[in-house]
Amino acid sequence: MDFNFSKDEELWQWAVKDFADREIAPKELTAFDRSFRNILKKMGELGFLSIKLPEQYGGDPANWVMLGILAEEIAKANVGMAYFALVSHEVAFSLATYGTDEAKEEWLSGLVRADTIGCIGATEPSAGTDFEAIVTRADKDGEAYIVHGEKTPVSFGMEADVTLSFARTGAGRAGIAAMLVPLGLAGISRYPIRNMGLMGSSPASFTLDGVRIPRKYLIGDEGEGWKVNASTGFLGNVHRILVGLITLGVAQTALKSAVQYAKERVAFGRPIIKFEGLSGKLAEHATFIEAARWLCYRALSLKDRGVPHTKEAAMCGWWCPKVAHDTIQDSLLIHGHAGYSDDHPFQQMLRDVVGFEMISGTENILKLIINHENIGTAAVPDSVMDHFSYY
Amino acid sequence: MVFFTEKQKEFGKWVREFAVREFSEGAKERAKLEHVSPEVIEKLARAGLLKMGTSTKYTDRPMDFVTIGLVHEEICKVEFPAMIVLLIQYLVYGMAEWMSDELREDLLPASAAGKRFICFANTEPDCGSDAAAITTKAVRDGDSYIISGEKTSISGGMQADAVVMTAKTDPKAGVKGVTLFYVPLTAPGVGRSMFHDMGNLPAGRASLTFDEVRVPVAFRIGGEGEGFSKVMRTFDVSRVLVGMAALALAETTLAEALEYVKTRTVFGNPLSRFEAVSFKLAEHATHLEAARMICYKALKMRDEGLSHSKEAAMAKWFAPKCAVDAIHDVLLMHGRLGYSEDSPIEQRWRDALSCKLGDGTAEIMKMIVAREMLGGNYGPSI
Repeated sequence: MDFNFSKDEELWQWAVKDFADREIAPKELTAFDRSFRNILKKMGELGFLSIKLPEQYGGDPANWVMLGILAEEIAKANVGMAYFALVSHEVAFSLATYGTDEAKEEWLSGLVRADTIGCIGATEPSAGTDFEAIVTRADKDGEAYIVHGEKTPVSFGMEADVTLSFARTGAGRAGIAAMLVPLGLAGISRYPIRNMGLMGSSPASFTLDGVRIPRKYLIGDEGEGWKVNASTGFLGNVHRILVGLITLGVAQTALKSAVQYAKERVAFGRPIIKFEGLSGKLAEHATFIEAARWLCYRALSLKDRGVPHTKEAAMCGWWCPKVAHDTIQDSLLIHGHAGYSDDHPFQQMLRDVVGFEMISGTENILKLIINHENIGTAAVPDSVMDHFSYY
Repeated sequence: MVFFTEKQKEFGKWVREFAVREFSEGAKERAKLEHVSPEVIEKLARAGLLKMGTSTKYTDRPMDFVTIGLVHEEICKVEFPAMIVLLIQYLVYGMAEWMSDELREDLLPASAAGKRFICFANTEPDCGSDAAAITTKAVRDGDSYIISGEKTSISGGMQADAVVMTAKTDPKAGVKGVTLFYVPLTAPGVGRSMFHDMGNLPAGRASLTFDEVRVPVAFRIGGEGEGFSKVMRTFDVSRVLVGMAALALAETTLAEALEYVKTRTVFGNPLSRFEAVSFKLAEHATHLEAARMICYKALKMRDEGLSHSKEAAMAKWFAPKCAVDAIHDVLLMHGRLGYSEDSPIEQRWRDALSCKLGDGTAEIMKMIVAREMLGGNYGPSI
């Protein structure tokens, strides 16, 4: 049992951290603007978005642990950029795994270089956690599909060039198809969503009104949409694990600041870190972050070895953002009233992390998944049983 | 409710109806302003809710503290930005007996009419929790005092007409050198700047600087050196009220959540059918109820003339914590809808968090509770 990163993984961590410290952290970018985009392009040039993608399109074999390291280290400097790396990778990897050669030829290199911005338009007003409840249609029209529907929220939707989307060719789980939808096509309207946080992810609502998608953009076969989403999309394990690592990256930055502040701030004649009522919390958060982090890397390590890790991923998905939330909230409070203003980054970090607490689905569904893995269908409520056959 | 008298229950009902009638419309928009709406202040004044003193000496409508708490709770359920106004109005009446006649006769009617917005200032850049370590000075000069220093994190500071603040009349004397002053914020030498906060924007939190500001002796509140103990006595009520304001946000949120989980379906069933959802609501309802009881207990003890620093401190750390946790979980239940800028839930979550900090951190509150229970010799290391 070796809990150390390999030499390659260590070097990778150093490289990403160096980039994050020098290029990202000092800029404190919270909106997806020109500067933000330029950094994403730099990340693309450095191969940060190439992991496990085909080499002919700029990819690199690397391993999944390294994708995790990327997400964590970038998140320590900028949560929006880390989340971008995850979403972009999901689109690219889905395309690489299930897409047609034509589609790969058109889109994959651009995604790897971040010249092209990808997003995932999957959920709808009535279909969040219950993804099967989507109603967006893809009606067959010769060798194409005509898509009608609404997708919301779509992270990076306002800035993206293409979306990985899901629509129905029929009823039930087997009636869902995955497809690439270039966002310049006729019939697509995008509306910005204003959220409490994560505005660096430039979220959008899409309406698709008779959008014509050529067959070459089908991702997987008709009826394989669910499988695509659950294996390489936002319903997949990598999403949950990386969301965990991203939130833990933010939490580590927050905790580091809180420790520094508590060492310097004097009250009642001594640095406030000397008071156990405060320092006890620092130890608690350090404990939880340590445990949560290793859970994430273990899950990725299992994936690298081809071992099932659905349970571990679900654990990461519901627990790590909670750990991060508590750490960041306490870091804010440790800074006293100043922590509540935008003079400090904590209120933004806290607003951002709340978004991550819901982004892998609710904690409730993730707990059901864990129980299903550990115990079996006996632990699944009857009313939800049908929906568990995909796990 | 066995806790309240018939009179209190009736009054609570009246306030609830008043709040819903007068403040429901536009509440969401007003929560995003950087000041308390003058319209809100005027309505409160006209309803007599800005002269809630406990003594007939200073108000024609004395109330007990439990009733003051009820008003606070019911108003904040609908119009949370009103909290700062209600808190301060309590403070004005709480300090009335220590004021000079001249000050009292000028301030009280104006405050009751909603025409004089006051803020309270003790915190400074180098001392928040360590409340007695202030360095703002007040030097006697003939029939005035000259005040110099800086106060920070002052709720209501941007909008206020005047501040009730602490200053050291005897810098060497520690706690016993602290004196209270009323200072008009239009006086020469006063500067202010605003914080840009995570929430509770209408509180217009500010830094106030005083550069040799001159105030008449009549504006001193209480005697020299008496300021600290007087402030602490008022904190024993204001802390409870801060806790209750947070609870009010959570109570409104929880009530809305009950409706939401009955209508939102997932996997073919209303969310409420899943114990993962309903038990969370049950747990939060329990915590909120318990926190509410501590708040009212503290106020009732005050009405009965009992010392209640411990209960007030319990209320101040426990109530906001329960409130923030409840609102946060309800936000998550609403998924993307809860996360949207349009959502009243996310507004309340950001607002409630401010209650964890205002009037003292949880650490200070726990120190007080511990000290009350253990006694000075065995209390926390200070």
